[in-house]
Amino acid sequence: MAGNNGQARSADPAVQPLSLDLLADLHAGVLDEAVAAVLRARVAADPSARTVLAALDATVADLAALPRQRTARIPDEVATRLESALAAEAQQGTAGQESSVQAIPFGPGTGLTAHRRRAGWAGLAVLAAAAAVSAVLALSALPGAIAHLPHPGDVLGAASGVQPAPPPALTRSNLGSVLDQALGARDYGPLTPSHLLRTCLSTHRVPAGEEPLGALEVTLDGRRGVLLVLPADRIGQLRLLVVGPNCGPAHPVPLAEYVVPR
Amino acid sequence: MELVAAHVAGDAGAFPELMRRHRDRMWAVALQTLRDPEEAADAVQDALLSAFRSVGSFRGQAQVTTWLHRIVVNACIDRLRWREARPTCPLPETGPDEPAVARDAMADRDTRVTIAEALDSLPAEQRAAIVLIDVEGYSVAETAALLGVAEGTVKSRCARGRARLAVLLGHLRNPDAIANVSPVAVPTQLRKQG
Repeated sequence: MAGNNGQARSADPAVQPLSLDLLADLHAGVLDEAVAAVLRARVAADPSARTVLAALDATVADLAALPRQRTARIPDEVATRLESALAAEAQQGTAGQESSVQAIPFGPGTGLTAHRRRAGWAGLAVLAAAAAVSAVLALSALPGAIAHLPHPGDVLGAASGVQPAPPPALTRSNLGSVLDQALGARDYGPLTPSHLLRTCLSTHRVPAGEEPLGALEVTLDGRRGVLLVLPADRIGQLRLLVVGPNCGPAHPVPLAEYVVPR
Repeated sequence: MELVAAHVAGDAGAFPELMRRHRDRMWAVALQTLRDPEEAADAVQDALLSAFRSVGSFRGQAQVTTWLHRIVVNACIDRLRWREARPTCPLPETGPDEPAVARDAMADRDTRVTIAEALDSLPAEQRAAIVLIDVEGYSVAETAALLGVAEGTVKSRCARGRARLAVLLGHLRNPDAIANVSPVAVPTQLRKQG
């Protein structure tokens, strides 16, 4: 039966139904040669099966017609960014700095994305061993209305001609060092005006009406982004979400995501 | 391997040089797998930082090229899984090998978008295998090494993915009606119309 390869392959190839899955296995070279030989003889006498194999051939031809990227050269700006990120990482390692947030990350590159997906959003229970953080987080800053604030640097720079301070440059291992600064802050940077923030929050499944406990524009591993401090699914935890400037349905992958104890 | 050894021995310039040698191919794999330059850049960066952090445990069982590419492929698969959980808008193809003047540029582009959309609908593992073999032309053995799975697994993933794509792309317009052939499950909304 289609969709059950083990069963299909264990059946008698002389009589088992020529399912699309079985024919695709034959086409892809999955089957033992002895089984394949029997099936090829049956296919030769079966116009419907030949139609399926022709369709699979056409599919492979379609794919082969896509432009190959094997010879693609990495854009200069990306190469520069990689070198900067690597240099920052190397410097971080040399300095021997330890994270102030001993959280378990999840998201791309962490291997825990799938775990989270399996666990389900409601059942998210990734708990960090972060004794250090709980002492420093004073959640006195309650979320207020999402302000339509321009980027702080824009105001300062326009009014005084003074160059604004650049966003803090962070790596994943020292992200927690700005938690105090982020909590209660409303530095949404590229996520202003508020509809951009709302779109971003919606993309990351933040319930409508729920606002960040804090926001701070940062660079993370050389990438511009915004650190959003959000309530986590469990009481006593915070969700730290770092998103890119284009955060939204077209760019749903965060730069980093952590759950830490409050 | 010499650069890895040099890095482990404390040569600060070794890993950046390793990166410079491999970044184009890593970029190519990420770009073709994710089809989004921004995401590809993030995936390559994730991969390189991951490689940098774990290079000390690299024992040379595989070639450095394979090791690095496996890391970037896994970074891409992580991102694809993330997308699966959160549907995204498909993006147009871009690439250096696009012909300047196509025989039928609009038709070709439409076809590519359709193929791209169909690829997007595949599970991450199937998509990665198909991209590497059918689009990029890697062998089954090379792909198995890159993905860190058995060759039979690669073939099986390709089989499942191609069967699904054949329906989505309209090569099997009505598989239900083909005598003796059981269909695979395909999302109704993704079936090609007409």
